[in-house]
Amino acid sequence: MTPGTVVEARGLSKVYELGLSGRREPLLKILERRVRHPVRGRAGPRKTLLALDDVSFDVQRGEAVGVIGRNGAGKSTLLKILSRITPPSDGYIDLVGSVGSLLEVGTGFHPELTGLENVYLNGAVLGMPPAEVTRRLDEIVAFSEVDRYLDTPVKRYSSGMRVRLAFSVAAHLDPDILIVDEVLSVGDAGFQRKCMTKMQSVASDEGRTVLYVSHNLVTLENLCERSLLLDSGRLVFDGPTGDTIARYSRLFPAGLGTDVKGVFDLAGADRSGSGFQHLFQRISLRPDGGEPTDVVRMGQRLHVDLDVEGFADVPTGSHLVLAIASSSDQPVIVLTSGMVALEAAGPRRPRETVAVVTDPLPLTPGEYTVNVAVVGVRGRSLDHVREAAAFSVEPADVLGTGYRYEATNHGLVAVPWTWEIRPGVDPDEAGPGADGDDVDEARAPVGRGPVASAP
Amino acid sequence: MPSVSGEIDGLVEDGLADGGLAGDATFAADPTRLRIDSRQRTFPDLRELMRYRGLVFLLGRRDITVRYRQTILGTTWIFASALVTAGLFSFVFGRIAQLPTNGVPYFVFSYVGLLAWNLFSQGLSNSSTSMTPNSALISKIYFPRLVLPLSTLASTVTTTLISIGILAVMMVGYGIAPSWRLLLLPLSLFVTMVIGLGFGLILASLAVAYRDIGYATPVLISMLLYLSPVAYSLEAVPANLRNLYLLNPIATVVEGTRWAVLDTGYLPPAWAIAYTVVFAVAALLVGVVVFTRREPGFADVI
Repeated sequence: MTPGTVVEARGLSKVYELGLSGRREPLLKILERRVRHPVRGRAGPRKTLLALDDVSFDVQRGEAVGVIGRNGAGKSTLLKILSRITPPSDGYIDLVGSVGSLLEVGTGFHPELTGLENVYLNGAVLGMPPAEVTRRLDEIVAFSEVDRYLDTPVKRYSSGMRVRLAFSVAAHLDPDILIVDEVLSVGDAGFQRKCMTKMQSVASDEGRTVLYVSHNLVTLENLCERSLLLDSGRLVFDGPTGDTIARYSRLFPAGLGTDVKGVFDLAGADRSGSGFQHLFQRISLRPDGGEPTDVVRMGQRLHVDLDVEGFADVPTGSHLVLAIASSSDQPVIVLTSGMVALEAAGPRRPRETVAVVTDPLPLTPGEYTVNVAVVGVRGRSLDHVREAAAFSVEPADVLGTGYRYEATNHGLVAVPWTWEIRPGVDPDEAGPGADGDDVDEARAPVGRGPVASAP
Repeated sequence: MPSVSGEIDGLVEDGLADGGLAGDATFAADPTRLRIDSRQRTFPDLRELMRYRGLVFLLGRRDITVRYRQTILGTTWIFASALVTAGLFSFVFGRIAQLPTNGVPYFVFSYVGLLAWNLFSQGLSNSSTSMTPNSALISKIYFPRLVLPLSTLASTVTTTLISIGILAVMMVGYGIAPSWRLLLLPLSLFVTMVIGLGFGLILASLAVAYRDIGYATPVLISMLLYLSPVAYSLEAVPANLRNLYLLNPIATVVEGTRWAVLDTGYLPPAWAIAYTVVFAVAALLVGVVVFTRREPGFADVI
């Protein structure tokens, strides 16, 4: 291990035996099998899942390193091994310094205990001795903003208060290596900013090492200079966060690309759902109804051709759901057959195509994914393909002002608008009755139309 | 992965990797250096466990606080159940069955028996059920998992201490004077607790994967109650069966406790006492080893 290296992972692998968790073979079954096959009385080879596959990396002291990857890529497994919750099946990690891990805010909070009792308990669970908690109690309480309720049982707290208190304890742990999983996605916007600032100072000012897992790529880019990209348990990229995110967006979609861009084969794609497996066969994106492509210009109408099989057999009351999500996995547009009825245009066939046509898309430039699902009556998905298709939106002059939305940070959607500056009412000119008039105006029936729209 | 084993060999040669002790996480020469790998431990890291003693106490206190918060009678419940059981035993076994007690009021006789019995049965059931309710902790945070069963000792011991206080009042009331034998009471109770904890650890580590344990334990405990001299005296057991009967170590500690507290008790033979002490040590050792060996898998199956 070279000096300055605080985390050294070599050949980390983790194998999970599927079907093991919680659902063991009942004793009677085992006995029955032993009786029937006294010689080879053991279960056949179990199905296994390689959650992590030969992952090696180093982290230097004071580095903030992000870990990104799709769902099931092995991020959580890596964090669990780093935090010693579960051992690796192969390989090893050497850590130098104390390790604190925060895989979930508020784990170990007991609803019956008061806020103060929980601070001590949570501190001890996270490895902070009671004396240390006492020393830093004022800081922790001040950060949490719940000082007035410290003697109240946590079960009477709002979820926001609970999270604030829990994060405050965790934020004052001061380990040499801090391992964090997605905790900044909690609390209100103000508290999230506060947490962000705290996290940034942990890495940059206090010289601690941070390993951070997130789906929120914006946060990751702000917090971490370097990121690791995991895919199917393998470390596929290790470099500057910007480059890692670029590689990450190229991992999509789950739908297998075909020779034609904008057409994704779904028959063999990874999916969840039950019952009607593999309803979705193929999805094609055709901006403005033209040839399939995965590049959409701002303001174009999106035509989606969704080839389905056995769709006529789907129980009535089920809904087709098509969701367009941003690169941070946030659904931006959701279309369901519950909102707009989906009718068959002719006699039903085993193979059909659902043809979707949208109004001009208000999305701003960036990477988007399309999720498709059929949800049954009781909310169970019958077939669900995440990231079935992916497309990027290109800049265009949708406002008609010559502005082309080439800069980032201009929101997720673009809506044309008008505005103007009107002369205000000088307070001296306003008579005593003016306020009363305003009140009447505000109470006016909706039918009179928006007050501000009159030119 | 030849490169990996090469790395490990290199570290061993450098004296950095841990040479002798096997374990999933061991400290080498540098105390802040930690190695995480797939090797299995047989014995727990006692130094680390010591560092987490604060957590043991806090979790133990949490169990006691939470159990009696929002109750009107509060901690009265701790000894109320033992008094009710002793009263019931007095009625059924003392009055109706008229079991011999060597001249001791039956109520005191059975209460002392219950003192040792409850320490064993509560120690066993509290520690064996300590894992599943804390599954959120186990799957999200690292700490030596032994902390959980050990922390249940707090409420078990508190209950016993309160029961001893009630016993003292009772003995004054009945005018029963203790002898020098009382000095052996802590020893007898300690052995009782160790047996309970030892079995509790085995059951706790199995209960993580097999929830059956949670259902089977109370059944076994209630069976064992009738195989132990709690409601009756050891002398009531036919002499030709007594040696077989004393293979149950709980029989020895229950009768031993009664012998220590009440002047008229019957002291089990020396071989039974030696057997029970060896049994307790072995149970604890096996419990700790089984627990430690299964510990790495807890988060994956709980």
